[in-house]
Amino acid sequence: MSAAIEIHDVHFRYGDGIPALRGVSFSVGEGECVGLIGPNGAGKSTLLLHLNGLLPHDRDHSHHGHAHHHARGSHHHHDDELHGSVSVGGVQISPDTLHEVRRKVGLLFQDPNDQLFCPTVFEDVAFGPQQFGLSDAEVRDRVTRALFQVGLAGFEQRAPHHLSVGEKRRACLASVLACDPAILVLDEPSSSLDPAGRRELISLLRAIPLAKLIATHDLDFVVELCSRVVVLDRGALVAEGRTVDVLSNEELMLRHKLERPHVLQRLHPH
Amino acid sequence: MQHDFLDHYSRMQSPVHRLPAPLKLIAALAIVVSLLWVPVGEWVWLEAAAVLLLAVIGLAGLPWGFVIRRLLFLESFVVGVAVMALFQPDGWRIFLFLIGKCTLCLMAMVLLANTTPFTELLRVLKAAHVPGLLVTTLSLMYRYIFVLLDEGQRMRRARLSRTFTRRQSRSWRMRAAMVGQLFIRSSERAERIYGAMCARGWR
Repeated sequence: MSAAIEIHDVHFRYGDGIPALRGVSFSVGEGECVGLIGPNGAGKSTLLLHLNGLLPHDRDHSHHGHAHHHARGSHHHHDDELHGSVSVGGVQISPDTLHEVRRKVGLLFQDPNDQLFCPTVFEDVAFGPQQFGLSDAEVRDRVTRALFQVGLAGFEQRAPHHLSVGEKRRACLASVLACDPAILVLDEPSSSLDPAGRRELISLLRAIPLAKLIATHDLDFVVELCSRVVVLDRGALVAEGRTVDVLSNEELMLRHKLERPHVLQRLHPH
Repeated sequence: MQHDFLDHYSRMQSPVHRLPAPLKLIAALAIVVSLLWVPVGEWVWLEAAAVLLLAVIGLAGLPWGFVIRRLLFLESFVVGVAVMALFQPDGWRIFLFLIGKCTLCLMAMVLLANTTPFTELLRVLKAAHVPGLLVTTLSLMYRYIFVLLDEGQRMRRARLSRTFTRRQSRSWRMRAAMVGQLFIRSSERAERIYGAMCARGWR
């Protein structure tokens, strides 16, 4: 069975020399929902950006990987450095496959204001499909469907700055869904949502049958949505397993500046 | 969102608001261009244009106070340029004429901007095959001016809540730092927006 996302031995170092990712490997299966957790600065966002090829590539050896880098022995340049391989739906990310990969991966950004960059909701949701060269009628159809799917039917002509945070988040989700992705990648989807908005988002995401990778600090959110979690700390993968097993491991959680979510404390009283 | 003041009046109801956007854009441009053609001293044309514009503003139901405040604000730029005319013979006459001309041009633009939603104008520009890059830039500007204002306001509040002095020099230094900070935040945001655009297939 082919994995939706296959990450193998990914290293990344920012231009200032600080390693952000140090040999991360894991995979997300078809239709699986995986939580990506870890303290601030663990490299979660960096990893998610990489899934969309948004980190600067070193064109020469990005597709040859780690080994080639050693062969050249170039340890001293000051640009961002990226090694290892990431494949999405069986396609390995490289400058040549970038557009194919971006079409497959729907990336939901942390700040909805970064993602809603058009003057109206319609134009924003239509942006992706238009870039893919669909006809006007198809675009309109996609937008209508996507907005309906997230419960924002009738919001077409609204301006993004007049939406509530929850509505903005859902509009972002619509703009991602309109691209018809094979995988959803979400960066802190529940941040700054009120409890009702958070509940809505959970049921919305549950209803979407795609493979999902969710980076978040909201551990209760993870318990509700994800069957498996991956724990990242200081750029390295430190634990991986079934959500309940990993999150109820108090000692592991505390060691990586996390905590056992309240839901699980109720489930497994000591 | 309190920044509605930027384009609040463009969504009112009036005969002028209901006119098709392309017509309004063409009319406004025509007025501006013909005003620029009027030779110095031909006050009749300016008077005619003034009567026309004032009538349309009245018909559109824009509050006079708002229009005057907008004009006064923009006038500072006009004066800055027109001052150059004072350095030539008969400078005062040219100066006044330039001010009159520019004020009327600005009035036409204020009228256009406040009777036509900006998104409509963008659509007209796109349909008129104005270079895509320009339209994209304008639409991004319109989208993020609100975010920027919000950010500026949050920073202002954060500063005020920790300001315990009335010393003006310090306040100016703080203001300069704030502008710099806003610039850095904006440029970082621009990078994230570019990422978001790429993520959805932008080339």
